[in-house]
Amino acid sequence: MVSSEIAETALRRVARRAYELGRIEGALARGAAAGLLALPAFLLCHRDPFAALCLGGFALVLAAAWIRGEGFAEGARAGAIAGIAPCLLPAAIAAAGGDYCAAAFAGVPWSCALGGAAAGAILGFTSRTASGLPYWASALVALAFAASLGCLPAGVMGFAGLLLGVVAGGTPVLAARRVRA
Amino acid sequence: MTPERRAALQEELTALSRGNRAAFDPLFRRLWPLLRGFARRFLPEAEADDAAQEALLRIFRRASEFDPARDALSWALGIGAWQIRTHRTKARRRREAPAEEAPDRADSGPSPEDAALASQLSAALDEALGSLAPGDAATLSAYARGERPDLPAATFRKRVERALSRLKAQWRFRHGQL
Repeated sequence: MVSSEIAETALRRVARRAYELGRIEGALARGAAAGLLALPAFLLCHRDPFAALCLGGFALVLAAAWIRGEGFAEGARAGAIAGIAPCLLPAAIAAAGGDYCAAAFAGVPWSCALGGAAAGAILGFTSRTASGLPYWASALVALAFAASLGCLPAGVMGFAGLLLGVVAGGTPVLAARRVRA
Repeated sequence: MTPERRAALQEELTALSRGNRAAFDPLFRRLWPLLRGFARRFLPEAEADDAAQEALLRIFRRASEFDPARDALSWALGIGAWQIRTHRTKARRRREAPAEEAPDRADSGPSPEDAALASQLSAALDEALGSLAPGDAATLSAYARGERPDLPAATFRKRVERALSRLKAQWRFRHGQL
């Protein structure tokens, strides 16, 4: 191997390290932005360990998916966009003065179901026809963490409503897109 | 660059920006000669290679931020051009750096012949300096001492260049070609 080839191999290694470093920087920025975006839901409604876990998990999933890239990154972004509405809805109402966090989920958790339906529809619209398992896995995990923050006060019923909402909102959109494709 | 190669560059940079590591090696093989050739058009070879390397590392560090709607070649050469400009600025500043910053040379002591020749040259230089306008002489003296009057660097550099060209003209007039 001549010296120029050795130098080029070394340069290639340094360039690869630079690329991965840039990727990690981008992941940290995205994780921090996701955490900040979802923080009001944690601060205004329910500051318990499970909510903290969801908040941390949401930020972590976005950061890790960005480092991994491709379908994982695209899926996590779509899941975050879809999940931010059911995540922030309670915080928005609480900030507006309503005692949402204590009373809104006393009966049927319609808001969770509605938020879930909106999330499902958004996910359906933002997904691509050829999206594979990495896309859907990271999208659903990011959506689950984000939406859970909003639906924690409703307990099991809230999660059931959320899940039904996602299925009800996402299925028609996906079916319509598949028919058109 | 042919349209096919340009399209391939676009495709590889887009793939890498999305996190597809398989695009790294082909992109490296395409970018490195391109940046090196680009830098060699504007800088001496050794400096050009340094500038090209720095540009290459910067491109890979920022590859994830690349917007696929943009033209990959323009984006990469834009970063390369910035790096070349930085190198040229650094080189110019090095030339303007004060003389005290230059490394000391070992002084083995001049021979008597060298000393006599140096003395004659010094006298001839003093004579040529004396024939210059006082402002030019003061500028060159300050430059030789490594001092810079209270002037912007660019202004001082221009004054030095002008004074040097007048000194050269005086020298040619008195002693023939340099």
